[in-house]
Order: sequence, then C-alpha cells, then structure tokens
Amino acid sequence: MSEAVLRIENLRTYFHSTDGPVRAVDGVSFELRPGETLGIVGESGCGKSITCLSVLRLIDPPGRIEPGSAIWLRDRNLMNEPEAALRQVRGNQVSMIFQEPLSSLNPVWTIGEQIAEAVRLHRKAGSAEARARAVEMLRLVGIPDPEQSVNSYPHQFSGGMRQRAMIAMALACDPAVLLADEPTTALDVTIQAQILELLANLQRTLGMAMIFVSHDLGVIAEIADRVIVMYAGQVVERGTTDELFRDPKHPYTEGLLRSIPRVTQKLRRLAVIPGSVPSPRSWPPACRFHPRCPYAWERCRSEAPPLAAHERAGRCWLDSEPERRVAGAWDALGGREAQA
Amino acid sequence: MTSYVARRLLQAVPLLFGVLTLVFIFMHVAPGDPTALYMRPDVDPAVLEQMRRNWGLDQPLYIQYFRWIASFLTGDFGFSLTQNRPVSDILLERVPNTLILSGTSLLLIFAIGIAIGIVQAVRQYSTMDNVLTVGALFIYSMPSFWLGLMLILIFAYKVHQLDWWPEFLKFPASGVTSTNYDLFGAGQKLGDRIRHLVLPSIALGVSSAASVARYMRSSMLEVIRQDYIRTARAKGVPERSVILKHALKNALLPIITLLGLYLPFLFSGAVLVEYVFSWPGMGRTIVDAIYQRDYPTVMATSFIFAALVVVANLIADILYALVDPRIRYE
Repeated sequence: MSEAVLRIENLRTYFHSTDGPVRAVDGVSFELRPGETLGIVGESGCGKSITCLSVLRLIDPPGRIEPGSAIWLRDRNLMNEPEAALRQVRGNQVSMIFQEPLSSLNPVWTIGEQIAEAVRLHRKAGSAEARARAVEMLRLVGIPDPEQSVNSYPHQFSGGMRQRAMIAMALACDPAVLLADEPTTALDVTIQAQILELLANLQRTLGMAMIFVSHDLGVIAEIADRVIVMYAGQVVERGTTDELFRDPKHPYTEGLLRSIPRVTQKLRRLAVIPGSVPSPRSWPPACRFHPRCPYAWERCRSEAPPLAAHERAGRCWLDSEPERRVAGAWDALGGREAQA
Repeated sequence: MTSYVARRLLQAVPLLFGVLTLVFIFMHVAPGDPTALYMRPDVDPAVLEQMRRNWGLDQPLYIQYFRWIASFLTGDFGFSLTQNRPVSDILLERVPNTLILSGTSLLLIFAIGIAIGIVQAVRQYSTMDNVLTVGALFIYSMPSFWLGLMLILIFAYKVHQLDWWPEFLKFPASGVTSTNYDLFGAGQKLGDRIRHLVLPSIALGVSSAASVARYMRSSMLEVIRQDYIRTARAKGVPERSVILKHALKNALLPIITLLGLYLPFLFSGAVLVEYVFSWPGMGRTIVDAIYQRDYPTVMATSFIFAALVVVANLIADILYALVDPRIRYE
C-alpha cells in the first residue's frame, strides 16, 4: 500500500450557535492514495461538502474545525499551518470544484483572468505566461477556440462549458488532490457523462488523486475506486466500489442502493429510505441511523456501533449479529410508512 | 453604444421641455413680477407699467411662453432683468463653481462611503461596525445647511481662539477664493481654492456619504456570501484581493445606480450650502433670481440643472455597462 497523499483523522467540524453546537462533521477519518478516486456518498445534509471544505480549511465562523482533528497532506498537518501557508496549498496542491458552475464563477471577470489568477499566485508567473497557461488549460478541458474563449465571461458559456472552465481553473497548477463537490449534479445527463469522462481522463493523464462527492450512486459507481458512505456527519461504511455495491454492510448503503430506479423494474413504487436525514443539531442517540433502519433493535437504540479500522468496514451491529438481517424488512418498513 | 447614447439624449428632449414648461407656469402663477424690485413711493406707477411693456410682460402668457421658447431654441437664454447682463454670461461664471463643488462632494461621497461600507462589511458586528453604523445614522440625520453652519462655527471661527490648533486645519468660512487671491502664485492659488472647497463640500456630501456607506455595507455583505467568493478563497487568493478584486467589483453594481439618483439630491443640497457658504454658484443664483422674479435667469438655471441630471443618469448607465459585462446596450 502506497503512502497516502491525504489522510483525515477524526475530523470534527462544528458550527457553534447559541443553542449548542451543530455537529455537521463528527469524527470522520479516511485516506486518499496517489492517483485514486475516493467517492463520498450520502444524502444532502450528511456533511459531505463540509468535509471537503474542511480539508481546505475554508470553514467560516461560526463554523470551526475542532481541536483533535488532523488533516495530513503528505507529512504536513494542515491543522497546524498558518493561514499564509494554507493559501499556498489551496488551488496549488489541493484544488476544489463546486456544484454550481455558474454561481461559482465570478460574473464580472473573464474566464481567462480567473484561471490565470491562480497561476500568477502559485507559479509566480508573469501575466503573459499565466494567460498562455489559461489558454492551454481551456484547450485541455475541451473548450472550443480557447484563444477566444479566454476572453469570455461566465454568462457567455453553457453549463457544461462553465464546469469545464472550473475544472481548468482547479487544475491550472497541477494539484496533487482534486476535491470535486458534486460537480455534475447541476448538469443535465449527457453533459454529466462528458464531465465525468473528462475528469477520469484528466486524472489518469495528470496522475492526481480525487475525492468525488455525490449523492448519485450511479455516478460514484462509474468514477470511484473506493467509496465511503456518510450519514449524519459520520462515515458509516467504506470499501472498494465493487464490494460496496455487491454486498453493502450498512443498512443505509443498502437503502441507497435500493432507491436507484431500474429500467428493468416493472411498475412498482420506487423504494425510498423512510424519513429524512435528522437535524445535525441533535443527531439521534446511539446508532444515528436507527430511527430509519428496518433492522433496528434494542441494542441500536442504546449503544453506538463502532467503525472497525479495516479497509472494508460498516458502522453497524449487524456485523456481530448477522442473523438479524432478515429478508423483506425493507418492504415491511415501506408498508408501515404507507399506512402512517 | 453610440446609438444607445444618442437615443437616450433624444428621449431627454421632451423631458427637458416638460421641466421648463412647468417652471415657466409656476414662476408666472406666483404673485409679483420683476418690477416689484422698483416699487417704491418715489417711482411713478406709469414707469413700472412702461417697464412691463418693455419686457413683454403685458402680453398674454402663451405669447410670452412661445416667445421664450423661440429664443431659447436659437440658444439665446435672454437677458437678466436684475443683473443687466446676458444670462449666458451669468451661467458661464456660476456653472463651473457649482460643478466644482458638486463634483468634489460626489467624489467625497463615493470614496468615503465605499471605503467605510467595505470596512463595515468585512468586520460585520464588530465594535468598529457598530460605531460606524451609529455614526452614519447620526450624520445622515443632520441637515446640510445646519451642518454647514456648525462647520463654519467650529473650523472657521472657534479654532482661531485655540493656540495649539494647527494652521492648516483652519478653513475659510465663505467664498471660492481669498480676497488677495490675485497676488498668489500658481501653487498657492490652487491651495487657496482647495481650502475654500473643504467645508462646503463636506457639508454638502457627508450625509450622502453616510447613506452610500449603508448601501455599500449591505451590498458587500450580500456579495461575500456568494459561491464565487468561496471559489476565490479555494484558489488561494489572499483575503485582501478576495475583497478588493473579487467582491468589490460585484458589490459596486448597485452603488452605481445611486450615482444617478444622488446628483439631483446634490444639486438641491447645493442651493442651501451655496447660500450658507456664500458660494457663487448656480444654487445661489437661482434662489436670488426666484426672489427677484428674474424669469430668464430662473428658466436658464433650471434648464442647466435638469440637463445635468439627465447627463448624470446617462453616465451612471454607461458605467454600469463598463463594470458589468452581462449588460449590453443595443
């Protein structure tokens, strides 16, 4: 196993308000190896985006990364670095792309200027050199006529082109790690496929590691090597993409997989996980998933299951009492929901 | 762009005519006429009657109106009935003074207002933010003429009684230049003019600066919550240029609209402030002319004011297009 390029240990990001802390990310650990793609899956409100922003230490007050959290970028703990050093990391060694390409680009500066800015900052490049790099990056991400497009403003680009421009901006300084926070969610399906392919290709050619956040398991299956599933601010399951899709350990993962619509499926109501993600202000006690879990029993309500340190692990008591995983539990739960 | 400007200027023509017609009607509906100045026991009423005939004031109102329009269209602003010289001469002398005063105030309003607004937004809810908020509200509530009087009282009078007060912080109370202005060298002349500008431009501009600061603060707060600001930070951009480059240009957009709105406000303020500071500008001219029923001067000055407002709004719209690439004028 090669040395991890990024290792997160016990990351806790809390938002402090007058009525107590909001524990958006609550003890997340994972590692990212060079050249691999790590998928992070979960519903909205599970802490996926906050995890990404925490890696770059871009959490604004009242949010705070709690002491005891560690963000190891190779052999540096970013938690101990001063702001000036963090700026050298952001956009240079670790870059990020966001969900909404339109609102994530500054409307009053040209695409070229927004790409060149990062190059000037991190490469100490002159403006001509930085501009040339911007053109090169736009060509790399497949923007037609890059010499002209470099002078365009974001509103003159289509949604897919904007996301390509965002990718060009993020990769302009050859980062070792790319954090992709739902980069295809706001795009329509054909464009989604193009962007996924582009990211996969660029990752291969540039040899960077990528964290790909999505709530869409289909997208994750396509792009990720390994996956962590997040629920209620915690990692509830991890494994290779294959393992996770073939044999989910955690009922939450199971539920997510069940709710993917299948074309072959005859007219049947789409399966859902009943309820919604609880408020991060008050996660349920013990196992945080128990109120929505079809298998939950007394132990789940009284005792929080641990996440084993293995490569392949699930945060669930079913691990020790597998006989409790009974077939048909989900359907029974669905029926209960329908009656309610 | 050129055709847009031309179209806007063309649209302004009926507007200006409307303004002038209203001013004409109001002036003539108001009691009294220019001969009132000469109404004394020793002046024969027949003489006043003759004056009215000479000035055409005995004619029906619509004839006076069309006569005036006709001469106005040929560029003839007429002859001042009280100053006994062409109105165009008066305007040439007075308009630059008002433009200098309002221009300086405008610069002050936006420079100070924008700077304070940025500081407040960046340090939201800090002590400094709160102090500036209260200060802005306090200043905003003060009428400019009263503030002018207080500035004169303090900086042109009281400070002369303080031995320790530095000489360069004592300012003249009135006028555009000192009485011995002609004896000065070129540098001294400029300095003298600037010193005379300080108090009136502050009196005229400071309350608007306070309100620009309020607008700028909220505009900036709105912008720094945007996704693209987060993008800039994620790129490793230093906080200073996140604010001054990425946020400022976006936050300025709504402020530019204020430019067009504040100019008329500034001109009406100038009327009062010019009076308080004996500033020989258009504001004083129009007030004097209204009291003396000097019809041609009132009409011409109103026209200049209205035209300046139209032009200011046009400039604001053009600036808008320069700052925001999403706006295109066809």
